[in-house]
Amino acid sequence: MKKQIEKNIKSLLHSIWKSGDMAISWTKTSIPGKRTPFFIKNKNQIDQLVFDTFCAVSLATYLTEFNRKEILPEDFKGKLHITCKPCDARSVMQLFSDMQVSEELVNLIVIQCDGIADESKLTKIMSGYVSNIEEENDRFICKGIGGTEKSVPIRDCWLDKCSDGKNCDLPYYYGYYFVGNETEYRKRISNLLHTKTDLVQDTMSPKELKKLVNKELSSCIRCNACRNVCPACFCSDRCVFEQPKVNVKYLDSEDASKNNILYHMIRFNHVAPNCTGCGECERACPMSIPLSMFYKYFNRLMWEEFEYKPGKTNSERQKLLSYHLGEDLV
Amino acid sequence: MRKRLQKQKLSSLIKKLKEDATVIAPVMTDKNEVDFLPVNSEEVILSGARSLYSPKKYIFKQSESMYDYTIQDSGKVTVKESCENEKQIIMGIRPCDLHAIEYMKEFYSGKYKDSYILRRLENSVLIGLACTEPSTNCFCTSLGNSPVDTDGSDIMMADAGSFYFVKGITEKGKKLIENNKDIFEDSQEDDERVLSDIKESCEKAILEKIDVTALKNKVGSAYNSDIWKKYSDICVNCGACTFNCPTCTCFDVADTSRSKNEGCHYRTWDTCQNFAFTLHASGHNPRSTSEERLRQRVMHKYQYTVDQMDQFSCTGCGRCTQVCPVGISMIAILKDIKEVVDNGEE
Amino acid sequence: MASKKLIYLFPCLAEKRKKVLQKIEQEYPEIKIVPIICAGRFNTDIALKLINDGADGIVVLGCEPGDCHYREGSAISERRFLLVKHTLKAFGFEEERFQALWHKPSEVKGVMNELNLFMEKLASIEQKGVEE
Repeated sequence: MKKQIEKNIKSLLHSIWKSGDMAISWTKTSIPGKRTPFFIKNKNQIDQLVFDTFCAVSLATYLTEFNRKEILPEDFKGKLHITCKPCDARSVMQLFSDMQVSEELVNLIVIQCDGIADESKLTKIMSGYVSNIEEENDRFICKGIGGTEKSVPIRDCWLDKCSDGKNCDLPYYYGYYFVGNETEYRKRISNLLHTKTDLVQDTMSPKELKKLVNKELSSCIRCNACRNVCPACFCSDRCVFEQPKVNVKYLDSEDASKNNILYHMIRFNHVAPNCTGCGECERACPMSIPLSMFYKYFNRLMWEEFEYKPGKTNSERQKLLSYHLGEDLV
Repeated sequence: MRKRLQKQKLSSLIKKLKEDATVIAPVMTDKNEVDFLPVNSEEVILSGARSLYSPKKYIFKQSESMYDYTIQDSGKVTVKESCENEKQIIMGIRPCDLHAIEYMKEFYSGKYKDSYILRRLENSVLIGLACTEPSTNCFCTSLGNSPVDTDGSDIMMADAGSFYFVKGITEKGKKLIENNKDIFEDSQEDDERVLSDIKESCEKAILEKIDVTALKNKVGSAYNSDIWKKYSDICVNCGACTFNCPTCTCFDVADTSRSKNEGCHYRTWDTCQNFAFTLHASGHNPRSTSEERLRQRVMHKYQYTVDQMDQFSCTGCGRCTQVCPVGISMIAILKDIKEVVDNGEE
Repeated sequence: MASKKLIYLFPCLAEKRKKVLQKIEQEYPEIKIVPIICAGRFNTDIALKLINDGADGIVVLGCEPGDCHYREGSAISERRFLLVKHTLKAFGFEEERFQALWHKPSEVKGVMNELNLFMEKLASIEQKGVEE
């Protein structure tokens, strides 16, 4: 099934490829279970493309970095094809509606996804060493130390967002290619979307919550991985945390957890209106801080207060920047 | 000095050591990850692969105050240099991290001596542990290191089934064993063989091997190649790799006020991957692109420290690869460098 | 106890609000007044930083949405202030610590009434904290 999807992506790319195009997709690395983003700059590289259960990196992040890096090749004159899982597709939509990327530039290829596994979770289950991973139905067959084999259910390695399923819906957009069976996909996610999850903010008193937040964020090393992989954080080198010319120094980098809390508070306050809940921050965090406890709160807030789901369409402006006189306030 | 430590005696050893020093050892955190933490009564994990987090943070702290100042009501300013004199014993450090601490020691005792770190090193006893298993990302053999290297440790331990084989390396370590000699047992003659057995089985399991030592002094020739672009396109320039690297030694110095008349001058980890790292006050940035920054990191590890200190500042622990959110593998970069160097030589 | 509180007030159009500001200075000497141009120009990061650094309360005093000299200014900020309140809540601070008051520049009584309520709320938060 997965092999078929991968084949279909390749043949789709072959058929729509024009000279001067570029594509962003995934490829294998020498480490079992790690997939890395892959920039296809000419047609004969298409066959190196890989799509399987481990393609966790959201490629929407790279669309935000055009201003920062010369990613596009010099002879680029066509379209940028980007392969996306549905959750990443919503991040791309949000970038469209925030006018960070031109719609004319990007060609969106949405891939049917049956849940993505986190390589680091699998490594943890295998106590740090995996020499080979094979996928069989809904299980991974992993080779550990000394050739011992272990079968791990894929569901145990899923990214948290996949079991949550709130952000699996497809965007309302006319111009994407869908690889896989769209009706089947919609059926799979339809009952996931309306599950209710309890958030710590509801169940805990401020004091308890403060304690929890303090504990979790005290391990933050301020590596900025959460910020840099975030598709909604598109300020790149102009980020408020790195502005030498800003006369208010918001943050001391002394790692005291008070400063870490301020770092994350400001970051979430800034991205809340366009956070699609893709979970990249949590996945990227090397200290495994459960950042989902924050973004889930803001996602729900946006829906409850403004009936607005970031990344749903390519045109709805984020609610905090678009007020017209006479509009209802809240 | 060779001894045996029965496994059930480990907890009594820790108890004894705790009497006059903080004991730091790998334990399981509530996030299901092995981390070096001050131990109380938790179970110490001295098996399996190396932990994801290195013990660097106990030598080179993420942030530390260098001096504190207070302003009295009379206007008098008093400055107090922070001077930690706490003794600490770090257990279960793997050979890669020991190499890293050794490197750090040399780095900070160069032309300008860093008294804060050297003092902390002096007050620490480092107890090493030979790796019985590698992790997926380990490549220490590629750098000429081995999973049972003892350099840098005061005491080396190795798992020998029912007991640990313990070897005192430095005077400090030997003294520690001497002070607790009722806990240790005498070792048998062929106990030393444990090390070579572990070495053999562990090295066999390491997935990646590429002879980096052959590239010594040659990595610089890849400076102008196009491999950097390939990886910098993907790199998101976070600092996860550098902050988790046991040999990354860069820091930033700043001042902060704690209240109206109190404050400190402190330093924190800093990373060359950050845009603001090399930003001049004029606004000019000599390493403004991601390509330059990525190249700096790799070149520094494999070329610049070779020029300056005649050693690689990479110990092959593979943590950078493990934490990279976009799956950039150091071994892959090294393979590409090797290709470039080999092609250049022909 | 009350005099130890650290409260910041950010009034817009401070020139026109002289009367009410004088009154506040008299009644609540612990409130620090920092004039701003427009409530829409208020940088919410500052509120987060101040509260994180230990401020007890932040009050932004602006013109009623629709009445703002800069047209949408205070209306946009009302949405942003809502977000600030929720950011505080998400990170375990009491959302009541941040408050926006919307009044015409000439208004005095209404401002004082709401400010009194705000101070009472702060006191009750503190009380709760002590009890727990």
